[in-house]
Amino acid sequence: MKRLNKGRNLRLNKALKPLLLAAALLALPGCWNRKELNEISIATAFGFDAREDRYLVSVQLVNASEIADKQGGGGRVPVVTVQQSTGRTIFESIRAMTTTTPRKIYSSHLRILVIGEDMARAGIAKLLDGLSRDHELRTDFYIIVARGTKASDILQVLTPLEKLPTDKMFSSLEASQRNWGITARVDLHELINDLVDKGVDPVLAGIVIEGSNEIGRTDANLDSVRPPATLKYQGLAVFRKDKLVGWLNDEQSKGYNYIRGTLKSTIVRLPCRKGGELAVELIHTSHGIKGKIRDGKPEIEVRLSAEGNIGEVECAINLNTPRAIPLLEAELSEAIKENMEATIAQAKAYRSDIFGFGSAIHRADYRAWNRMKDRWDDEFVHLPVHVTVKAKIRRTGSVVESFLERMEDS
Amino acid sequence: MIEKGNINTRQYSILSLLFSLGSAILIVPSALTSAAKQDGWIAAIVGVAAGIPLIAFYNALGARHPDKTLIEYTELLLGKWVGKIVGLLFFSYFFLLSALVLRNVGDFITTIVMPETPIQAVHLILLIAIAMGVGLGLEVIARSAEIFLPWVLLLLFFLIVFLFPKIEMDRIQPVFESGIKAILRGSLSVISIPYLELVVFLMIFPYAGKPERRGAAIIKGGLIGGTVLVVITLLCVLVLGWDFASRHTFPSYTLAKKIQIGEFLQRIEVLVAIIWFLTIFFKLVLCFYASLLGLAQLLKMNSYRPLIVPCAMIVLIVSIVVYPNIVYFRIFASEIWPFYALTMGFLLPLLVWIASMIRSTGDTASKSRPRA
Amino acid sequence: MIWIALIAAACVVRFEYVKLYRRKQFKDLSISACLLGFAMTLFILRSAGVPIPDPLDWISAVYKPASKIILSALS
Repeated sequence: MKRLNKGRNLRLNKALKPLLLAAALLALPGCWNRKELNEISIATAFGFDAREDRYLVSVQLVNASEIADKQGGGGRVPVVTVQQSTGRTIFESIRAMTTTTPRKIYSSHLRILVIGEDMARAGIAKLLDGLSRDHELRTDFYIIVARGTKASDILQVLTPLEKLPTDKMFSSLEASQRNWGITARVDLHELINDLVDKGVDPVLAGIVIEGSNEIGRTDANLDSVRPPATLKYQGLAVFRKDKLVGWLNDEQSKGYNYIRGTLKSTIVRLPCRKGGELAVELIHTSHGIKGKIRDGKPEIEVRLSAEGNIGEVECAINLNTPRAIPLLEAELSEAIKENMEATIAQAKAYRSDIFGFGSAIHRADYRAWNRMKDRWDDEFVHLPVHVTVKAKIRRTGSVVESFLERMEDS
Repeated sequence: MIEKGNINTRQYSILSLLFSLGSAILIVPSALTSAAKQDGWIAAIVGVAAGIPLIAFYNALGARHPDKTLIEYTELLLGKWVGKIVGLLFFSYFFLLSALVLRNVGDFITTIVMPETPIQAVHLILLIAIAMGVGLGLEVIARSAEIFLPWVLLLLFFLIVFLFPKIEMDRIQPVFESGIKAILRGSLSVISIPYLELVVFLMIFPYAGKPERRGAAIIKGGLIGGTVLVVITLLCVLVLGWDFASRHTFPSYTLAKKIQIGEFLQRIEVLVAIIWFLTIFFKLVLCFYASLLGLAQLLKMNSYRPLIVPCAMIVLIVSIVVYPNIVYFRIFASEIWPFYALTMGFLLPLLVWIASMIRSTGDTASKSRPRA
Repeated sequence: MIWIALIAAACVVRFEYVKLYRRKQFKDLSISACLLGFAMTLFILRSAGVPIPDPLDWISAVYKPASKIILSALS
């Protein structure tokens, strides 16, 4: 039957092919969902503040023509613009912004989300639901808290080294967590996980404006070698559930990162025997948190092993002797341990389990955890935590003995 | 014989592999983690373990009538009236499956890739391709499956490998926390999607190469497909965490979003969407084909070709009508579908099988059994 | 939507039915025509906004009791 028809269908086939091609062309570009580049505004950062009972939403939008222009044509036009709008819900506020922005906002390239401190203290959970549902948003942007100021102010600061202030915030966060260890890179995925899990409370990096807020938002900020206003990361915001309850200072933030194992490299200062200090550069850490139930009571063991090099010696110490290094290693371990314990104490003061000790107990013995999880805030405060640190100093840099010692001798 | 097609055993197993992956890979990880939390992967294993004997049973049934399709011997065995009614039930199962699978793809595309596109447009374009496929016949479908298979496997491989850096073993713990009941509840979803739907293959069974090799072929496909499902579910737990996986409608897509190698290999999740699209296409084509062939055989027609366009049009409408929103679907898929599929995919074939045994008229039955 | 249905129906009539008629396969022709008529009815109803009954509702009605029993046993 089929063979008989092949001849007659040849004409049909010839007509069919271009027809199908046309149909495919109709379907492929996604007509209904087309987004022309000149119809959208690319948002690189969002900021949320609380204003009475409404949300104040700020968006940092890329001024595409300014970015693209390699010569920076005259440069009196800022590279980004910030639009604001208020509304009762997030979605509403963002849509309301179309009354001021000339185009629809395209959020897929979002890199930073700033939450104002007021809003953080009131609770961030509602904010996050809208964000997690939007299909345009990915989960790989970082969330930070504006410390002592409003998110909209943070977004308005221009930065000299980076054309897009958001890029500066983004890379600075990554770099500082990797190399200094006092910040935390938290993306939406992680934040929601921490909120949902009863055994962890979230932590977000804090950012401040150092210097004059007013000048920061004008081009004058780009004019001098030392800009009048800079964005700086400072400390970590501690949350209990979804409300901000306190801040960790820089040292404590380091402790937090030690425990969480997210600290890759940092500098630790150790006092010398004869006065003065030396600095060790940590290059590698590996951590472990283990939960245990002993006699029905929970216990946590935190282990950290670290490797470092001597970075700077500011005192007269002879490193060449066989006992020098082990002594320093012991001091280093001790210093790190004290750091971690101080952070744990502070977290206990805030009654917020930011390290995930609860999850560790959950993983160890879920039946016991089920009994405790609703009282975890209280249990956490009395939780015995044993910290062991094993630090090794491997190298001393290009120089072994410091010339300082020789200098003193002569 | 309405269908003169002939496919070889290898194509048969490729088709069963693609079918098993089909819409399962989109829907099932979410259902598994909702029920069994971080033990979702264990539930998946249980489901696959239950599915394989099921496939073997289908094969045993088909082997008793190696050159007839399910609907043909149903009518033979159960008599004119009962047989036709049961055959009609099978037909409605395949037809409904086609509409549901089509709706799954439509939902996927309109949720993830192009939300402002009206879902009918997606369905229509896809149906045109399906109609062409069915019109060109089983052989063409099987050959195109052979062409697409390497791509599917390659993309799957990369998906799995590129996710390795994002695995956190902690997320799988504590193991077995959900308990056996929750794991069984979760395994229901794997058993019903895809294994109870593989009964569709009893419609192409007669055309698939040498009769004695068919069983191994379909088990191979179903097993590999099941393994991939387990691995994907495991990855969903290890990379996303069970909470995320259960809350997202298409967690395997969210999984792909997480791929980030260096600074350049990211945001490639659409490539993964292509795998899902391809596998669902083949599942849909087979379901639709089975329903058309079945209807033609029920009504003793000369060919199923005149049915293609009218049935495609009906499928289009049904696929829109079938549920108003995704929430309805999730509830339906986890609470009602397993039992409906159990009746259509197991109890009815069991009935046919019993009838076959009683009548001892299996075409290759070498021994006649006395009535039990 | 209905335009597509009309175009499809026209194509079917022009390409398939002519063939079937010439081959005197009247049974196939009539079955297909019935289904086509049913399909067109559905399209017209849909375009007119008339709600079309949902097969999933029927299935849910039938299986709800069994589902409740078995699922609560597994909770």
